[in-house]
Amino acid sequence: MSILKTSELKKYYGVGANLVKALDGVALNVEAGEFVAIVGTSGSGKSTLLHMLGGLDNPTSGSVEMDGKELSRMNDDQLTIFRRRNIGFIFQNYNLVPILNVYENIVLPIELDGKKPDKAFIDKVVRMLGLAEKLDNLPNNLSGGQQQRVAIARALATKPAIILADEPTGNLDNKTSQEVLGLLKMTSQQFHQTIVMITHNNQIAQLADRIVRIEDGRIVA
Amino acid sequence: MFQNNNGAVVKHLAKSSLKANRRRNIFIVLTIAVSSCLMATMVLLAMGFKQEKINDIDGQFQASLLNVSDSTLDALKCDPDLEGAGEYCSIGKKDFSGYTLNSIYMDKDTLKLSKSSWEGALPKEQNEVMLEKAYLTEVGKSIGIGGTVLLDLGDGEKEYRVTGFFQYKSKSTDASNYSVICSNAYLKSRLSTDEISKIVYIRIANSSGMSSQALENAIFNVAERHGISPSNVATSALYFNAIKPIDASSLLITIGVAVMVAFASALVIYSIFYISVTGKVREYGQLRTIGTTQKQIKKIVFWEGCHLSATGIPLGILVSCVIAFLAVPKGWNSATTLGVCLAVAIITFIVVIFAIRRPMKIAAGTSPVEAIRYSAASDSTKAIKTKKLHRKITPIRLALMNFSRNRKKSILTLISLGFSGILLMCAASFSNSVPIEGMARGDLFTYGQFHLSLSYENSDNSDGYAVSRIQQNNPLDEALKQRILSIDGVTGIQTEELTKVHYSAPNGSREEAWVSGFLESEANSFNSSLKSGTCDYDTCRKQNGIIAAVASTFKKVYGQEPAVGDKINLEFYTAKGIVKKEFTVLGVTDNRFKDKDGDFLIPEENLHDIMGTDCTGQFAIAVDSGEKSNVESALRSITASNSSLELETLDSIIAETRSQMQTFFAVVYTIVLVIAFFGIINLVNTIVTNILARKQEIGVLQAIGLSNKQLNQMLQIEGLLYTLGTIAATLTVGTGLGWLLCETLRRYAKAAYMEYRFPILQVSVFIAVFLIIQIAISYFSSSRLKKQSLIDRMRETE
Repeated sequence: MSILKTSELKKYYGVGANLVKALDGVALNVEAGEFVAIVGTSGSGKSTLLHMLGGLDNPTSGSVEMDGKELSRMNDDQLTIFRRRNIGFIFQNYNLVPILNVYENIVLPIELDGKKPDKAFIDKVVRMLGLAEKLDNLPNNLSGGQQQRVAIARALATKPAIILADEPTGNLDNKTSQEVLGLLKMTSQQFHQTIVMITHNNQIAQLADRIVRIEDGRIVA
Repeated sequence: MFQNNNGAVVKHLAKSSLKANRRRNIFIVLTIAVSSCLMATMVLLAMGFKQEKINDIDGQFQASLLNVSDSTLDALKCDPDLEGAGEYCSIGKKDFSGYTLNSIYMDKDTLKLSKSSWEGALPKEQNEVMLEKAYLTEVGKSIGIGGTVLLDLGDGEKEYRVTGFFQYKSKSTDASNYSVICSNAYLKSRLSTDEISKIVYIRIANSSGMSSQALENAIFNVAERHGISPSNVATSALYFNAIKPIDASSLLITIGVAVMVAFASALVIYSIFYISVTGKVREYGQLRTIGTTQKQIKKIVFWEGCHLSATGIPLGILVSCVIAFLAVPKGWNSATTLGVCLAVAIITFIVVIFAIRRPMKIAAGTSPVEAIRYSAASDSTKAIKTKKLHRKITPIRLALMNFSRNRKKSILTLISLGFSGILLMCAASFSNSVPIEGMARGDLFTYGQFHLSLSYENSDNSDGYAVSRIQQNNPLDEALKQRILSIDGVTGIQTEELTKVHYSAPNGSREEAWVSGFLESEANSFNSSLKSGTCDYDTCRKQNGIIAAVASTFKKVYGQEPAVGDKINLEFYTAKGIVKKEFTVLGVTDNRFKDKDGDFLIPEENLHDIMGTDCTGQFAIAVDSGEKSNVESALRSITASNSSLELETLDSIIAETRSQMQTFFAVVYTIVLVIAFFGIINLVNTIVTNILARKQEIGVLQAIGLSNKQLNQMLQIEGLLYTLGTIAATLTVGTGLGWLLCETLRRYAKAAYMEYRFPILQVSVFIAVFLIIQIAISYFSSSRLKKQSLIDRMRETE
């Protein structure tokens, strides 16, 4: 079953001689439960693609369909609500909210949606990610790897249709990177979670079920 | 040790930092400008008014001499120590419907010394006069010099030749009073030698800039040399008032206000700098990493402060100069203005440097490591763990957490905002608690709406008999009382008996004073307001007792307060001549007794015994409020037909009091507004910085599901917390201090008429305005935030 589908996705910046084609007709299909890695060099358009997939930015043309819903038809607020219910984000620089503790950061998207967190599920995720001892800590006092694990927990908490990970190991050392990637892989398998991960590192991409290469705004393989 | 000259690079860094902080700079420059402007304007206006007064009296007479013989006058005119000596004599007064004509005699020196302007010549012949131009306008005539005019100067209508026109420098407030200068020949034809009581006006030579003490000495020296006793010398209160230095109490008030303004502005500058410095920890850390010393970082912040002062201070001072010049053009003095501007500039600069001392230290204290760890959003949160594992997360909760994430910043802003709210509350409580009517009535107009009293306007001070002469043939008699009581709407009349006496003061001078009579029935109510002693009617009656009113005034004028048991010597001017009496002080009070104008009180019967006549000096007339205008016109027709009566209405006193109070409150509210303006600058800066510094964090929140509505809610509530804090401070501390201020004034500043009333209107307006401003700021800053795309905002610090 296809969970994510883009067709003819284009994102252009500037005009005339300054025209930059960040995305130039991307067609991508992601099946439910799939772990896809999008690989490309710096400036290839992979981050732009992820922003489009997550509804964080509007495409110049083309469509993004997630779980059967067309993102470009939604207004700002509908998109926000769609995001918090269906998409989990993992960013390179973790992007945790500094005033909230680990637990609060994890349940934030659920609380913003006015729902009660599924305690048993959160517990399971927390234990799996090894965060049980750190729940009342503030993000400042965690290491990079720990912070990224919190971000993964946050992304999982809402049981989203898809997790979008933007260079999740970009700020981490080798050992920690392996650890985080292992956790991502485990998540994908254990919860049958669809994950789209962006990376410039081929080695990291090897962990995914499928690798999509992007160059100059086009999918090449 | 050899050190490179690195001043240039520090200045350069400071300049770049300034360029990058436009909003902050504008706020600080505005704060500096407004505070220096307010301080300079206050001082420049005070000095301007003073200078205007001094300019006004330049060339004017400084003293009047009484009982001067013609030969002495001639000698005075030749005295080289005098710039001028002129004679003046009042001849008579004649009332017409709508205006009054005063016939007077004066010579050219008096005309000069009174700073009048004139054209033509002074009258010489008996049938010649010099007129006030305004008089011709009043009566609608147009006559030139040499023309003739029909005038009734009190001796029947006669034809006079106009020899010239004159105009007093400052026309008295009573514009319907006109003077006609007559010739010496006319004076002699109207009054007998006994009746002529000339006044000689003098001005000491080269006396501009003389201190009041030196001037007084010079005047009394001249008088002594010409055999004029000190009791016949009266110095000009107007002149001495103008040259006396600004008194200590107004100086204290000015300093107090300046300190308040300086404090409020320092708080804002500190708060803005603090926020900007803590927001730039990363930047300072990076500078430290690449080798900038702590001293250099301090210098960078210092230079920023200097730079902003260099823009703000001249701007504020320039505006204050324009205001001062436009408000009091006649009081402009370039030298003092320059001095004031320089002083204000230095004070403001010190305030700025003082305010940025701590931010300077914070910036310099940044360690290179902090630069890496620090993100603007984390601020000074030092906690490792939260107390509770799971706080319910709603936009309101998030707002509360944000508000308290940097307590110091929030508290600073709250203090500065609360300060203005509290000040406003004090000013508003004060202005609301002054009942204008009560203040206008004071102690002397407690009964009725009209005072019909004997007019002593034309009697001069030396003439002790002036009052008793009118009282010998008192127009305020029983017949008039009955006539007034028969006017429709008059509900009652209270009479006051009083006469003018001369009092031998403890310092040896002989001063004029008033003695009021009191009734046995009044004694009891007076007793309660005594400071010491008693007011027993019988004791007073039998033992020649006297009550001294307003002891503090005695102390001020004569240097000594009367005490119970003191002897008081008074001279009464009776129909049979001067009667000297010694009294014993039985009671002393600090206030005036209700409706008694006298400085001293004795039983009415004693007053009758001494004076041998009815001494009624005033009718206080009470009327039905609906009939006020009818009664007023009836009373006006009585005064028009009798020149020795005058009418004072409560309404006119209320109007005058109100306009005085309005001017006063305008000044008070201006100062409060300026301080409120500082608070608002601080509020704007705090809210805007709070939002902009968290651009990235807010972006993340939105990415993971914070809707626009929730975002607006969060930001509005953050702002609202400042508003609520300010309102709370205003309502609690402000109300308390406002009440305390009114109570203090009522008890210790003799403002018994104060009655505390909660300023509901002012507070409502304040809260409404504050809410609107805060909601608008939160709204505009969040919409400014939204202009930038989510992606860009999330990238901000990447």
